[in-house]
Amino acid sequence: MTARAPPANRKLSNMLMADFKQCLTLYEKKEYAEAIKRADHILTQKPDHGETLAVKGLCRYHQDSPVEGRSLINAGMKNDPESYIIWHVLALLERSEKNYHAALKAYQKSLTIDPSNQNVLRDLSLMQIQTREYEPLVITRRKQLTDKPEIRANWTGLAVALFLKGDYATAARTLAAYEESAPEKEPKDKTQSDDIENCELALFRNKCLIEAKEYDLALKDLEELENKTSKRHIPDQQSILEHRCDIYIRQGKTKDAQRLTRVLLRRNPHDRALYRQLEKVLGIQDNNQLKSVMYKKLAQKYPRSDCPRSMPLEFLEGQAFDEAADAYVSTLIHRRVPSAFMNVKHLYKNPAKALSIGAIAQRIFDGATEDLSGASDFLWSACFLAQHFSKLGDQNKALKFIDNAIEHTPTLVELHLTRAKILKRMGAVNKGAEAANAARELDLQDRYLNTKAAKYTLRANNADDIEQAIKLISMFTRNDTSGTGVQDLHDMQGYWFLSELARRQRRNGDGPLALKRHKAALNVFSEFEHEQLDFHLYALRKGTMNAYIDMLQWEDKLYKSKKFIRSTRGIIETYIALWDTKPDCGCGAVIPGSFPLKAVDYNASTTVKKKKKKKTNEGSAEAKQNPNGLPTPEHRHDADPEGLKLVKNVDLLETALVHAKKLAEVGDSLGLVFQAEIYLRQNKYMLALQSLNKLKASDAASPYASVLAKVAEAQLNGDDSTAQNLKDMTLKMLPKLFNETESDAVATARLAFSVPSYKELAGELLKGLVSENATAAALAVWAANSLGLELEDLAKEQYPELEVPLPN
Amino acid sequence: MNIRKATVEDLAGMQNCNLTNLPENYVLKYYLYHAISWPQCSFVATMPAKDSENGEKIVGYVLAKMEDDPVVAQNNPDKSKEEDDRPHGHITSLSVMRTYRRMGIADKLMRLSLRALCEVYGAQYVSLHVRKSNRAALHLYRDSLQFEVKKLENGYYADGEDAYSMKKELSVDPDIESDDDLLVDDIAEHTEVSL
Ligand SMILES: CC(C)(COP(=O)(O)OP(=O)(O)OC[C@H]1O[C@@H](n2cnc3c(N)ncnc32)[C@H](O)[C@@H]1OP(=O)(O)O)[C@@H](O)C(=O)NCCC(=O)NCCS
Repeated sequence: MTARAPPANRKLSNMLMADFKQCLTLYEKKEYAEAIKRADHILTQKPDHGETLAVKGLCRYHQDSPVEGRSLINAGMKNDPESYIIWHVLALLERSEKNYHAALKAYQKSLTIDPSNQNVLRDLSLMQIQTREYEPLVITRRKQLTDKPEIRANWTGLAVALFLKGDYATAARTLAAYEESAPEKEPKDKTQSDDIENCELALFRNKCLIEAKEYDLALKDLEELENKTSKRHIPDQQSILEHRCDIYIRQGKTKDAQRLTRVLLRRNPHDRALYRQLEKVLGIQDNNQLKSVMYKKLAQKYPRSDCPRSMPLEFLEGQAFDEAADAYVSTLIHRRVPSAFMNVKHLYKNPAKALSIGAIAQRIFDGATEDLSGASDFLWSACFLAQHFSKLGDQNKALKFIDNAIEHTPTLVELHLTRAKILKRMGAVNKGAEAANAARELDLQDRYLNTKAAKYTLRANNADDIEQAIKLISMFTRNDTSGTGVQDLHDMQGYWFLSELARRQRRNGDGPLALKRHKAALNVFSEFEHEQLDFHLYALRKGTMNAYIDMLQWEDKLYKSKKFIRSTRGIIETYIALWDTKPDCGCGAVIPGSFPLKAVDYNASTTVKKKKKKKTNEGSAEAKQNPNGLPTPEHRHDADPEGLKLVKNVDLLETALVHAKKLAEVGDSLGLVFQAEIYLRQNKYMLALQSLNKLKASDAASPYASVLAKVAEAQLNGDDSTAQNLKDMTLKMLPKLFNETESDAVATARLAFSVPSYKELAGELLKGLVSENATAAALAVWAANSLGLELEDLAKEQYPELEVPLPN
Repeated sequence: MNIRKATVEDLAGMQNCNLTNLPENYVLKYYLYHAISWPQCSFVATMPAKDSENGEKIVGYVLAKMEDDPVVAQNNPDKSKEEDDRPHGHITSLSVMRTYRRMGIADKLMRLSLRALCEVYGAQYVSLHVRKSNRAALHLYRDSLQFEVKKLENGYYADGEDAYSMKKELSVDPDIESDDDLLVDDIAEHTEVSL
């Protein structure tokens, strides 16, 4: 292999070379302004010096000029496409931009030019993990180990790579090889971290043996680890027991597994999984009678443990259930446990059990009302019954119980919290917020109550809810100089707040702001993804490979989480709604049945002047120190306070499509429905149909998806009358498919309504929603209103307190 | 109620619980730092919940760590002489959702965490901070768990409130090691009879 000679324009004079080296050092010290000065000096004499251009670009990038930064790097690359420095620079840029695949390619390219660069080799392996390229990772890690076998992390790194690839046996051998060859540290030189590292690595090696199905070896290994006189002894008895028990289970050694499960239970008699495991290894998981014996004994043995008392309630039936539930529930109520109901509510999917539990509470309640000395029984049974009836859907009765209790003792926080929930379920969102606030005022120190009150406020129907909610949350946040904690809740990844705010802004008809908040909520997830990066190296140093592998697996599921899906749906819906209401999209501004949007001024200027920093005389008062000595944070400049940049000069449908594709990718079938919605609006009927065809049978059969498919088909068949009619209408329809499950029905109703012969069906669908729950009812009444139907009376019959959100 | 060791998968739920309950909050990275540095000593309490990620939601947690290597600490001139340099743990954060309080969850979380700190990491004592006005937590630490108040730290918290710095000596629970009394035969008998 002959290395290509460097291009003529790369060569620098000795003087300039010194400048370039200094430029690199300054960059590494993050002194970007100074680094750029050097670079500019070089460039005045050699304007086409690629490496200098690239390093300057990277500095500009870090100075908040990402566009200029990238174009400088590109220019550098053009001038000198074979420089490993420039490829390395590009890799760093891509990595900062979270384009891990692109970074990986750039590192690889850099490495083919300069194969001996250890830093690049290490960074390449990080990108390979970050992008889960395990096969090539093993190769990189092998090379790292060959180059530097004296570093323990290189052995561990290879072992992890092998483990991730599924080659457990080789992973175990790699770890053993290191342990056998490594020099022993003198006990006096050993630090606490060394001990933790040894312990964790020993456990990881054992895990590898287990996964490799080398059970006998693994057991022998554990014996050594457990033996106090062995060099390899580790103190983590708990993990040793867990591993051993796991092996016995895998080997089918049930007697041993039984004994060890009991030992583990004694160490933690509050772990439900262990009780289930015991059922299994005893082989009695299908025998309720024996299970019942087992739990009775364990309840005696562990008198302070909830599990053996509550778990049988899940499988017992009839009289046995009644008796066990009575013992359980009445103890909780007598002991004034505020969460009594929370402990049984999961049993309510079985109506007989729900009735039985209600009867127990009722008996205590009746007894307590007769005997006035039982004030606390009265209160807690009333609170329990209120939750009971509320769960069963009888909100009026629930409200009576709770009001009764509050009248008796107005100062009990839990009663007001329960009342707030009941009111919410009645659809009385304003009163619900008031009740949550009443709870909060009873204990101003408790952030939980503050959080609840803020959440209820954001879901209410008052004009100033957002302001109020922000005022509330700011009582517990680290407020910046603007006096609120909105920034803090962004910084602290407060998903609940960001997503509630987004939904409320959407309801308020503020599309761009809703998008902005939804994006902030999604950003929490990309931060989570990004945050793992530093641990690829850190974990190797710490030796905590089991936790580290857990982290990788958790990250792999990150975007499948319900929260991510919910926020992504919100973004897509908002973008489509914005497109539909855009004056020039030709589909009119009125969308029946969806939350109407305020007109967006697409011509408004999006440049925001930075406020001049005012000199604060009151600085000392403001700069209150927190325990770490950090002053009050400066209110950060917001370049897009109204979210306009997210919609101006943006292809709304294409942006929605990107998100819809991501949604489909993480397995949410609505992603495909949304794609069809978007394609129909873009007159891409074939693509719309293709998306719908990809739906699973069950999803494709949903009335909504099939109407959508009909539209696309009619279009393709040139069936103009139907197609035009349907298409016209669908374009105006906005499926409110986000957040609420019932929205699919609303959307279908609106679609059906657009076809004259389906009008009646639409009415029926909406009526069906009314009986679902108060939230669905509010939505249905509202959708009906916009279609010119009347549902309010029917809804009010069921939810007299229903407050229907009014279009602003 | 279910109480078990915290895994990485639980961290976002712990973060949410913390943000809901306490004013001292951290980014996920800080939780990851705990989980990846000291994976055995943090615990969570969960409840069944049908619309949460894994069918359960996190209603309480304790986040714990070991303090830096005492050797390192010794070389740190900032640390005053009387600091206790023995290996020790620290409770970074503890909270339980209000609707699940007073069931003994915090007590159980703490006991499990203290045992792991001592047994796995060789912590000889554990320290923590608590707001002067936090009656519930003070009761838990002082009365239920026998922590001692070491000193009052003026204006420790961001809002100016004072903190008690508390401490508890740890030792391995001898009961845990004993191997008797596991009821093994009892239920085994029942099973064998009927199977
Ligand atoms: C402090 C906190 C964690 C206690 O959680 P918990 O699960 O309710 O506590 P437990 O049920 O285990 O109670 C432990 C002991 O404290 C007592 N206790 C609990 N809450 C109490 C209260 N509000 N007032 C007085 N004592 C209280 C219990 O009676 C019990 O004592 P016992 O052992 O004598 O029976 C919980 O109140 C909380 O999360 N508060 C907000 C966050 C917080 O303050 N965290 C601590 C920061 S240092």
